[in-house]
Amino acid sequence: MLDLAYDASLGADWVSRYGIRLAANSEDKTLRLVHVLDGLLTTDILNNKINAIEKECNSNKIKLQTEILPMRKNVVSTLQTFFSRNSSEFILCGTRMLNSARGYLFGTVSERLLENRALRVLAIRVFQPGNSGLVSDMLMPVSERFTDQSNGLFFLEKFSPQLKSLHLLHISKINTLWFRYLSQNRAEKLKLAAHEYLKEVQRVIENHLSLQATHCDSRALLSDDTAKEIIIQSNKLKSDIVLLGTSTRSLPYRFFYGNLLEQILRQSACDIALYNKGH
Amino acid sequence: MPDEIEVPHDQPLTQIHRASIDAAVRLLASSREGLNNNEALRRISEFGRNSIEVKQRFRALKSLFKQFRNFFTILLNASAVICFVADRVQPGESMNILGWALLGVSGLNAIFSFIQEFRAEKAMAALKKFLPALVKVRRDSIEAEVEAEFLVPGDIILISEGDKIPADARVLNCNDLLVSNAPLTGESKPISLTAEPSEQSLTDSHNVALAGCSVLRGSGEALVYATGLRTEFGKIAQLSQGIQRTASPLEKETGKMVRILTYIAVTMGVLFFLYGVFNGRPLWVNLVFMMGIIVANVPEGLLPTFTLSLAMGSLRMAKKNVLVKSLNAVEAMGAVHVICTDKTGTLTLNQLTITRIASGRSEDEVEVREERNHILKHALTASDLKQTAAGFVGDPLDIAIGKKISQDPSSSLAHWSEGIRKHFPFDVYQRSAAGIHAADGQTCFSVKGAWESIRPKLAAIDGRPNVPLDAALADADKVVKQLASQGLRVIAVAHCTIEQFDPARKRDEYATGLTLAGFLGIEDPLRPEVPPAVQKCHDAGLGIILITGDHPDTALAIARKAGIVSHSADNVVVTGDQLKELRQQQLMDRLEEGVSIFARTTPEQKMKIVSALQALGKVTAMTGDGVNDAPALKTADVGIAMGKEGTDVARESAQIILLDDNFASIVAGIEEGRTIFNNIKKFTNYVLVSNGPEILPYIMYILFPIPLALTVIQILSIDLGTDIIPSMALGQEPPEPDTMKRKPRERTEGLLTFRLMAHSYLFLGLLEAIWSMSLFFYVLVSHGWHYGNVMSSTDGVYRSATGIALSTILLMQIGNLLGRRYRKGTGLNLGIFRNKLMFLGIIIQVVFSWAVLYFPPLQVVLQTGPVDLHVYLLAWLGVPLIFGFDLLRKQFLSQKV
Repeated sequence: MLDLAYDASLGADWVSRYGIRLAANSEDKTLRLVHVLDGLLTTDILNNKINAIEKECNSNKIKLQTEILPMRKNVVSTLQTFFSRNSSEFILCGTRMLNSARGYLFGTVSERLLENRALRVLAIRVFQPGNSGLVSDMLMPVSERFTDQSNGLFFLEKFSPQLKSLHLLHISKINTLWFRYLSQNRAEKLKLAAHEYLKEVQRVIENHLSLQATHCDSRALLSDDTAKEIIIQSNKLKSDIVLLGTSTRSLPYRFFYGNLLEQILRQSACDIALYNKGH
Repeated sequence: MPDEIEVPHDQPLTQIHRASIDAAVRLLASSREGLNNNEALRRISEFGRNSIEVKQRFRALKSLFKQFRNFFTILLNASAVICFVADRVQPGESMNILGWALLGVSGLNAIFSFIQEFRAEKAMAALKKFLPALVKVRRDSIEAEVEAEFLVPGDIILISEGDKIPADARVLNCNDLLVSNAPLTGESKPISLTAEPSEQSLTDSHNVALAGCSVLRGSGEALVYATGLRTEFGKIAQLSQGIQRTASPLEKETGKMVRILTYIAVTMGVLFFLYGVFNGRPLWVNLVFMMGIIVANVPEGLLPTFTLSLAMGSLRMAKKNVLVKSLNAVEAMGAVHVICTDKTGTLTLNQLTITRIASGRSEDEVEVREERNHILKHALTASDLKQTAAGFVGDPLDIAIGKKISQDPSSSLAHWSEGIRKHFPFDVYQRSAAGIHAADGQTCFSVKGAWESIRPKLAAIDGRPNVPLDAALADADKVVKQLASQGLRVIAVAHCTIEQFDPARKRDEYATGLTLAGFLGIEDPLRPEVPPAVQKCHDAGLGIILITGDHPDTALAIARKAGIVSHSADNVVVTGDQLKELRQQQLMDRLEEGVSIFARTTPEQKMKIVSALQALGKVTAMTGDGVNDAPALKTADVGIAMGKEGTDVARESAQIILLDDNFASIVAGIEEGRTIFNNIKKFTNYVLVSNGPEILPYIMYILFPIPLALTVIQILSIDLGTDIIPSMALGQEPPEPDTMKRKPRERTEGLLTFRLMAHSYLFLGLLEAIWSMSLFFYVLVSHGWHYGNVMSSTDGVYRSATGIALSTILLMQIGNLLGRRYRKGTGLNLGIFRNKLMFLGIIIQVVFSWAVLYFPPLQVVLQTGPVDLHVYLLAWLGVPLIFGFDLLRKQFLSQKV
């Protein structure tokens, strides 16, 4: 069973389609919809929306459980209390749909859930509602810390039954000041090391998952702008989704380099799935 | 209200193009009446406007700031600051003037590079032309025109003939809707759209209308599912804007060179500064000294000369039909290892010609006139051809048919077209076009297209009434294979008689029980200049990769004719489907194994091929003409767009435009690029030589109690004055005979090699230094100077001595210049006057060498003085001295080789 943190927005409806598809890959084929009554919606609208999701679940042979929670302190604490007491495989939620000055993730319930290392969370930004949660082509940027215990592998497994192609991407970040002076030999060495690392990641993935029907490829790049490179590669490969791990960056880092996640969320032309690295 | 929509949920969750119309509407939380205005406004705030522009904040500032980050500029600016400090510490030594001069040089370099980089983004303007400003939309059941920017996912748009499609949309209903997807797919054939669910991929399905495409005929309504950058068109726009061209080989080389020279200059400057401090010299003297050694080491005029040389190279390229948009591409052309080329129009003339008319029995040309006419008349019926005063107008294949018929004016086909009642345009799924002809009480339906699409509909074959259909079809299969193996594109022509023409009937209702009339063998002739150009590429060690949407057999045949692959070459073709399945490493392996033809590919796959080639360390040139080629043109090291047939978007995304779309022009451009790199190497070598006699006086000044032989201003007069024109002259030298016989240089091969530096500094530079310093001391000693004597900078003897040192360097640079022209011989036999700029450079050196000694205004500026004539003549001896020693070196090396 997986949980869907549902706020009854249009974006949440679209995220629910991911929920239905991912629930189809769970053992009990159950989706638990969790909504906190924050007073922003009338009961009729909420019920209509939940009914629509239930019908979609039924037509896809998914069992829907609904939990409507009265709000306690705030939405986040209500949800966190509920999730800590009622475990599930993972929690699915959506990012902000509105590109406000604050960004897509900053200050959202999803950001707080992602920060909670005790929970396994997947936050999705839906850019292509027409795909209705179907992921055929995935781009997965991997950092130097990818292990068989990582949540990346866990979520990759959840998506794997629908995947037709998986592209692993490793970007070696080079300081902007040095990037243009990087010698060819040095660049080759860095790329070689990155390729070796990607081979290792691919081996880990193949040991844990059955991806026989999936076309797997990997590419190693050197760049002084990680976010931009991820966006370009997702466009080049026509990816349906980018599966990306989140990590907490310090304030000085954000000041000098900006928030990579927000940059990707703001500029990408495909769906983005963010998972937390804790748990 | 979308929130209140109640639609049946009878389908499993599916993608929008696979979903039924109701399910598609539900996916977008919309309704057939459209969104209401409030919901539309809410979605605008959620999804943003339907715009493809990527806003980059502070782009200009960032770009300008970047120009000040390179080592060269940092060094010059730091030196300027030191000069100003030195001027404050010890006023009256004109150090502030030097500071301003250095700031000026650094500022000019930075601004020049900034202007180069920060050009108006014209590609975006060209892309925007594909999108409409206004669009008819239904909201709250009311149809109205709104600005296309305000479309949101879930909107219902109404499209009709002549409209441009504003966003990606799922067709909900249509009436004979025909669209051109050429801007996105490059496919010029129009596509009929339908509202039925499709099992193909989203972009290939025939129930979606894609942004940037246009409606050729009919009308319909569609549900917007992606806007702005989320559309397929938007993705191309984002890629075109987002991809930063990788630094050109020359940019990397110059970056590396500047870094090395900066390290040398700073290290020497700091070391000798410290040496001076520990030896108790005054601080300002040490600062001046440090400045001198840095200024002497940095070839200030080199980078501007690079730019001028490239600009002149681009003018020469333009004369060869190669229009250069980005100066760095001039040299990048010379570094190319692999050319990825289109077929149509580049290798071929893009003039389809019917070179064979065959029956279903044999691949041989049909000799019987009636039988030929029979095949041609049915082909003509299935064509959409108009004859104007300028000639035929229509699809290239239809024009070829028209031309073939017009070759025989007495033919009975001359008036055949008058009886054509209906034309069914080419259908990309049925891969055929058709038409109906009615005359003399007889009506027939004719179809022409791919054999695979017509074969299943055949009931008979002309001329084979007694042969069983299966056997006749098997014979026809053999004919098709034979024709394809000869490089011909095969078009099958079939027909059937119908009772009556009914405009309401659909094409499929006619296309049954067809009879095969025969085959047309179509060829796009190879450009005559291509085979020699390809041979030139092979001689020059360049790889050629043919990327085409054509059939593999056709691609292989044309590649063989052009000489890209040998006639015995095997396993050299990869199809688009195979390419899709290959991992990048596998593709790299296949490329290394010698795969050089990619057939049945889509334009998007070009990027995959370029990336693999770049991963192999190859500098890649890529040709393209369509909108969807734009990202690949930007990804490639050298993007080449077609000037005649290409779109504006491709032209704006490329660095080079081929004015005649001709492959041979690419090769000519590469030859020019290689020549430019060789010339850059020559003038770098030339310029660095003068660094030797500029540095040595400072080293000797700090180590020994002797006067400084060359002041900073005098150094600048060489670097930013007299060396510029000769450097430019070397940049104009014609190609050496073996330019296209050498293999392309490796990416790792530097401009500034150890060998070049040793030759510049330790051989020629040292020669210039020794001779100029000898004359410097000769003047001093002959006027009574003794070792250890301190001289004032205003002393007349000192001024004469520094004057002769400067004059000697200037004159010896003439010998250096002549020696740089040719790597092996003297080069004198080729004449000095052929390169007018070089002659001018020599004149300037001669006049300046005289003027620094004898022209009072210049004496004041450079703080020099006159010498006896015999001393000046001794300085002239430096010319044969340096030229002769260098010639001996060349001969020694050639004997060694």
